[in-house]
Amino acid sequence: MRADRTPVTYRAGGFSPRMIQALGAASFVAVIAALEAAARLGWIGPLSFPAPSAIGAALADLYRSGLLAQHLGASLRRLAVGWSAGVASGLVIGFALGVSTFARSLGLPWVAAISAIPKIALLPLFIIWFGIGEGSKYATIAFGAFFPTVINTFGGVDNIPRNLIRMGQSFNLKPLSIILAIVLPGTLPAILSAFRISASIGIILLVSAEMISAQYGIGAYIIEQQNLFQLDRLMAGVVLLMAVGLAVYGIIAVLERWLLRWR
Amino acid sequence: MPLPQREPCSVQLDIQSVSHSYGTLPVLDSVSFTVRDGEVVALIGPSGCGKSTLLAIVGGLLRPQAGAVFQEGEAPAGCINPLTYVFQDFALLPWRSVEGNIRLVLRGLAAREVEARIEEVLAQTHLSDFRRAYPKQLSGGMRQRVGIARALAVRPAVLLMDEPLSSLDAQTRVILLDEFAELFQRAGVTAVYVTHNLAEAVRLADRVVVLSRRPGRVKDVVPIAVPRPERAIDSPAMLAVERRLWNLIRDEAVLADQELADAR
Repeated sequence: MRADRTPVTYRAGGFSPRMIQALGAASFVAVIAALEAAARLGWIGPLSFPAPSAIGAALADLYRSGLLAQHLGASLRRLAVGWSAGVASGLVIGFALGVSTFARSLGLPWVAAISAIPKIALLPLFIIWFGIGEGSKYATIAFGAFFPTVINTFGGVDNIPRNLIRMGQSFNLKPLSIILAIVLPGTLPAILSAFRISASIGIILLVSAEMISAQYGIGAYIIEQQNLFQLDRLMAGVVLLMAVGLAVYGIIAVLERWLLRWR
Repeated sequence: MPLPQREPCSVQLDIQSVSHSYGTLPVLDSVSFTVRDGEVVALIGPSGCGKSTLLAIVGGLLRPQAGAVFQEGEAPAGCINPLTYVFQDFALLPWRSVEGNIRLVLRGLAAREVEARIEEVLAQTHLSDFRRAYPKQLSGGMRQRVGIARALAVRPAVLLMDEPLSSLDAQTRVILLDEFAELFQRAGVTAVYVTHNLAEAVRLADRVVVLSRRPGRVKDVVPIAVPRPERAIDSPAMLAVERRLWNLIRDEAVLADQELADAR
């Protein structure tokens, strides 16, 4: 038996997540405080996981010795050069695959075949080709950044509404104008997500290559500290990588807000 | 009903025996009609009869399988795109402001001329206060006004309007219909206007080309003799024309429906 009058209950809540910045920051503070407390109370030994304060001290030492700039500088330069080269060439090829039947028919099978290779497997080959120095590292990072850029860019071009291109044609815009004024800005969201993916792949390849052979660089530093069994310094290197990752993420988020403000 | 300020009876568009099919499905069968200078021709017909296909062929956005479309006569002064579309879904670039969307189609003109034209068409479409707004900030009606402004900016010889009011709500549609009527009368626009709304056709057109069910053929061409200023929505003369058009279309629509049922 139902009551004559029942209020209608709201049932459409949830499924719309927001980002609360303060909560994210607070969780960092909480985890660091918990680790510090666990270390001081002797729950976690320094040979398993060093105290955050010890990691901080190792970072400070690294800074004072001047080696921080050298390691970080070497890594960032490799990342910047390799990533830019890979992304720039990836954009060109991605657009070609996006707009040209010929390029797509010829290029897509190669992209599919080569992108399946774990890129670090090619480092030995690149060392033979480009030498043990910077060349092989640039090439590996560039190669790793190239494929996600190609795939995202050409997918983005494919997703541009046909009617916008027809509009451009109906106003007699030249093909180059259609590419620059309609296709390129329409592909920007996909390109920015390619930036994000290729940057994280670039960081993975950067550290792997530096661990195999490098005098300076965060990867080289981490391997060096492992050999010396200096866990606090090893973790200092890992923290540096986290900082690089956060910075890259932040830069791309700023780019997105600025370039996609029309959305 | 040619407008006084234009040379009467000079032909702008000559559509000759245009046929088209999608795969094995014929959609247009030997359609011919002309559009004279200063004249608005409405294209109506039951759904699926190929109206929009025909307009795409007229504007060079689709290659017809048979027949041809000829452009004649002189384009107006300053015309940089004789056959110019107004799209049902507006086709505005979301990353460009109102003025940016108009500037896009004015490439090749001197900077001063571009600015002058932008100001002129924004004033004509009551958008002067919104020139820096982005499409997402505008209502549907305002977006279509931008579509009209962009089309007018190139000084077209013929406007090709593909159901320009169909994606708007009913109230906005009435408001924009009034604005179109006023604009057509003031500016002496030559246009092909595709619609499924008979009231729009009767209000705006000088002649109505009625297409049959698929494959579309010209079933009748109905002139609207009522002068534009006297075309109130509820005038008996207008309602009579609307009823005549509806009688032509209704039979076709019913038959089209039956054919669809028989085919199953």
